[in-house]
Amino acid sequence: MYREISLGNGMRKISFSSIVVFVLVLILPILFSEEAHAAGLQQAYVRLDRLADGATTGGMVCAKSATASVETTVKVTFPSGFATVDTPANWTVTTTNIPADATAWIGIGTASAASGQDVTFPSGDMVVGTLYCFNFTGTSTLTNASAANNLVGTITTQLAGPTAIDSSSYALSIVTNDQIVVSASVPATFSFALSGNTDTMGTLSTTTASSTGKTVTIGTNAASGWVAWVKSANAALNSASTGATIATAGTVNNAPSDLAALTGYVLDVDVTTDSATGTGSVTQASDYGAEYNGTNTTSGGTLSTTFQPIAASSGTTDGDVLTLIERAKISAVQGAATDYTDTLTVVAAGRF
Amino acid sequence: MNHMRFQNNKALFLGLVFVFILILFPLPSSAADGSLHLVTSPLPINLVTTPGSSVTTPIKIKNGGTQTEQLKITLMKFKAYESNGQPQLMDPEPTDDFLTWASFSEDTFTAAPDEWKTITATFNVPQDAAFGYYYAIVFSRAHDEIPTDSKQTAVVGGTAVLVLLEARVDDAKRSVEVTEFSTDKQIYEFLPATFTVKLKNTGSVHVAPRGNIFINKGDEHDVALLEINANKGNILPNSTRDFKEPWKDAFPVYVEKKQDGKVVLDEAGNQVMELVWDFGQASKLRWGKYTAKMLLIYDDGHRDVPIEGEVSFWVVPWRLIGVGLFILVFVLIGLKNTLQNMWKNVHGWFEKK
Repeated sequence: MYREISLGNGMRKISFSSIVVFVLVLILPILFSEEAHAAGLQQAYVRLDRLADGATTGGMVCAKSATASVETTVKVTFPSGFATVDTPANWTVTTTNIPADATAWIGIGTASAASGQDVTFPSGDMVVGTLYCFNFTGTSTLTNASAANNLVGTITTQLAGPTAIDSSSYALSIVTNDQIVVSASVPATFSFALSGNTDTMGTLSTTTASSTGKTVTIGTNAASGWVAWVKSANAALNSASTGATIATAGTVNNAPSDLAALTGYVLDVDVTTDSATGTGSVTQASDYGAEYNGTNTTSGGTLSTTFQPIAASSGTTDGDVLTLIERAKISAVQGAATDYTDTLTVVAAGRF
Repeated sequence: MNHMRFQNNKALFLGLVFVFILILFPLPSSAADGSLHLVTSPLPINLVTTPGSSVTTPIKIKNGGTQTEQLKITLMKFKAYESNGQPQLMDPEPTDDFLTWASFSEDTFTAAPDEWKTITATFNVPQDAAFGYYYAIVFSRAHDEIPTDSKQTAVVGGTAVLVLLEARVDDAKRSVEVTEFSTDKQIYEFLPATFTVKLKNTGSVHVAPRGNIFINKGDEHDVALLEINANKGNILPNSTRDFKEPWKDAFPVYVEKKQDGKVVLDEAGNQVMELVWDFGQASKLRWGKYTAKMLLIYDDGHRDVPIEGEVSFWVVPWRLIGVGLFILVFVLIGLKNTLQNMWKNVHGWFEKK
């Protein structure tokens, strides 16, 4: 069945089948066409800086392109319920502190458009399979929705037009409280260390003999500092076997006694270490330690059977060190004995 | 004979039992060298209660040494020296009834190395108590060995926790007077300028005034702001306490010389100062007359009471001024010579014409 249709006027006849083919060529694309869709991104997520209900926040946008094309913008659509500020200039960006496997988003810059849930940023041409990230600021940009799970938004890469290239959804969860308040306290402490409980005086003579010395190490975080006192059991070196006594020299008068010109028994307190760590300075001030601030190897303060201040500090320290040295000088007629002794009691405290 | 044998066996048996007990229950051992290291917390302790009631407070103590220590608590008292407000530790006296109000959960206790013990102190304040009571709770070794060797003295030590207890009554008087507000010099070349504020507690209970010193220069207000008694240190009744505060925010400035983590001291035990030129702080070159205004407040039980004071001083960096004048004189001489030469040249040129 082959028919030809004459067109007259000497024109060539066209077969019916040719017409059918022609019509089908025109119609079939219409009948079997599909709506054009952007491809999905290989990877896409938004990580917010804050997840608390109603918190103002910035965040990080990351995406991995799937389609070879020339991207010029990226549109971030925030989930319904999030409040965005429609001022593009507020949506500034950075590319610092992005994940190690990501690349700074090429061509990213301050948003070019912000409207409703959509914020559009400029973009360069993305390489397929490369993860790009950028941060948007949290200042006057985005406010979180109410607490809920699976709040869905989209990231869409676009070419000029704009025409979508790749697009993927992301989901966010918003919680009522996203922060943990860490609180701690540091109590005031006071550390006192005495290097030993005996001090050897050696053989006493008509020249000044000094003990080897014992140290008191004080550390405290008390802001008002510390004070230290000492008292003597006898204010003298006593011999139990003979009953003889070497009395302390001088009087408590803010001035050390120098055994170069005296006989007797005194205590010298040296500030061995005034720690540079902390706010305190160690002093042996007038009426508060000056008595025991011997400045040579024969001087020291008069001992008392009541507590006398030997030094103080005005603030914190990690280890001030005082050295207590007993000194004694006897007269030529001092009774002989091998058991002259005394007991010094040292007490220190943090200031009120 | 049998009797003697029995006695010997009995002595041997008792001796063995004693040795066995010592092995099973060894006595706490002190450090071989007699050293003692104690740490206490907190400090000081401020307590307020009403007459006829009791108040408790925990006190923590740690044996910081390497040997187990048996420790004891000794109760003392303290007051403040009238002249400087510093604490004066005192042994108890028979009339100190208030010391009998205090009791402790343990009077003696054993502490292993690095072990913290918490002792609860309870103060049962009688109905007729009023105002302030000041305790020093001293922790020390329970059985400090007295030296048996000849030619030795004993050095025993302890750490005290100071407790300020107020039995609050309506008729307590809280009153503070400024007895001195001064600087350590009238004229400084370079800072620091150290302010001394002496406050006398004329009331019947301890108070803790605090506030600021505002430093002005002419019409320029608040050039600097210093805090006085920021740590809320107390002034005990009938005593004067000194508060010293340096103004050292300046260029250049004297600072404590430090070496190997220690403040350098001179032979007299005074701190050695060194002048530091931090040119990043050059804008803080201080010169001219300054006026410092002090404003402190304390709570008199009803309201905040202000205390005011004012002092002036000068900062004259004379060496810098001298160098500046020296340079200026040279510049002026050079300028004069240059102008003279120019004048001669111009005059000569006109004469030639």
